[in-house]
Amino acid sequence: MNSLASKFALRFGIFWLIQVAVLRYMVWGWGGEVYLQFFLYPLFILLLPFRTPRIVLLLLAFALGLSVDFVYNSIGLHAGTLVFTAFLRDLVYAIIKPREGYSLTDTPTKYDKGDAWFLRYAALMLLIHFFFYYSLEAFTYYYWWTILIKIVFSWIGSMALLLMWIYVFNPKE
Amino acid sequence: MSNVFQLFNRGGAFVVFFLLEFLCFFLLVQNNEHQGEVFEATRLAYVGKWMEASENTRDFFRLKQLNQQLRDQNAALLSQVHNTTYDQETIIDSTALGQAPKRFRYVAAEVINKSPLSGNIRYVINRGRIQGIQPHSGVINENGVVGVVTDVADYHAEVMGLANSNMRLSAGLRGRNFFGSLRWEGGDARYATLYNIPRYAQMEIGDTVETTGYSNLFPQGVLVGVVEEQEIIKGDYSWALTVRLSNDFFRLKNAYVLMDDIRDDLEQLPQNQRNE
Repeated sequence: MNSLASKFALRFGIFWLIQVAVLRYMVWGWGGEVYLQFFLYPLFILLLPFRTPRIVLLLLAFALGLSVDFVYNSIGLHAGTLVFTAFLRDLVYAIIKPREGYSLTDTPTKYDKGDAWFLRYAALMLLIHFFFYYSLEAFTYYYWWTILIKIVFSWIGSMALLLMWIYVFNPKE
Repeated sequence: MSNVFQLFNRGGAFVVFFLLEFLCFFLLVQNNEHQGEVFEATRLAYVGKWMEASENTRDFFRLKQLNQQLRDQNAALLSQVHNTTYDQETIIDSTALGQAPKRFRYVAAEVINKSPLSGNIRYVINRGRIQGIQPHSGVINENGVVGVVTDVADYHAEVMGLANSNMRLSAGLRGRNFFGSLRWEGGDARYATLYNIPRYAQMEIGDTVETTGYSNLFPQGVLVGVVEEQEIIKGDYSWALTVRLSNDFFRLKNAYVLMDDIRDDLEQLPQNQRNE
């Protein structure tokens, strides 16, 4: 258990570092607007075990989001988004529940739950994440068309990156 | 439904979620220029709407008070109009109106009770001795003559309406120089009868009836009503004119009591001691 905690602590740091040191510069857009961004840090929330208490999940999401925000200089934006995504994790589980259900010792990984399940899981979670992120970023739906384009671009890009990560490392927990 | 909520709130997670989101929202608006601006603009728009709505609500509950203010203001303005002054000059200088001493002052009041419509109409107003009301004072409002104060208590006064068999009012036809006495003959409270208009008087149905100012109750020219019918009194060379009174019993709400500042002076004359 202790080794698991330290593993997740390490993962927290790695995802944060990759996001702020590498992915922060990998953006693409036009007309002064960024349309494509790569977010890898939501994967940290995605991979936390099923049995993680929800309050811990939310607090971890807040902590990770806020530490990303400090570098992005957008206090509250990533934090609010990640807390939202983390909160809806149980709902996503309920939506994509396999016929046999979940058992307590399952981990939400490709390794444990299979390719199809993980793909749907990641796709839904990232979609939620980007939807909320760009809504919060614009803070109004007045330019909803722009928001929609941003969501689609970033969602596809980040999905590709995230799946690449999963297929390369294939974490077991 | 409760299952859905349980799913969301397992282990108090919903509360934590809500608090965290609230905190994020606060941080976002506080620290980020764009979101702060949008939030401020939205807030102002909604606060504006809300304030407008609440102001409307407050206005509604303040209507009574506002009405009273308007009545007081009206009374003050009425006190300044032309025929409430007493011309002291022997050579009348019509431009020196402002210098003439005040004769009538007005006290704004509200009708708070009415006798039944059955006849001999009486009103109760919410001003009395404390406010300086004296018996035998005229009462008017924006529609014309209301009646005459008959009894005064400390804070209230009773007003005899025009449709009261004890009422005698000196009234004339506007612009025609004939005058007579207005009485109520019972029956319909909307009508009174004007007697003593000579038969040779040139007049028409629809003529305006107004106060003459001969009694010390009303200034000259306050509306009383409109002539609706004319009838010859047999054996008497005068008309009995049916006058439709300008004040509606049911709508009557405002009242201005006239305070005659030189009443004492007029009452020294025997003619006026008899009067009414």
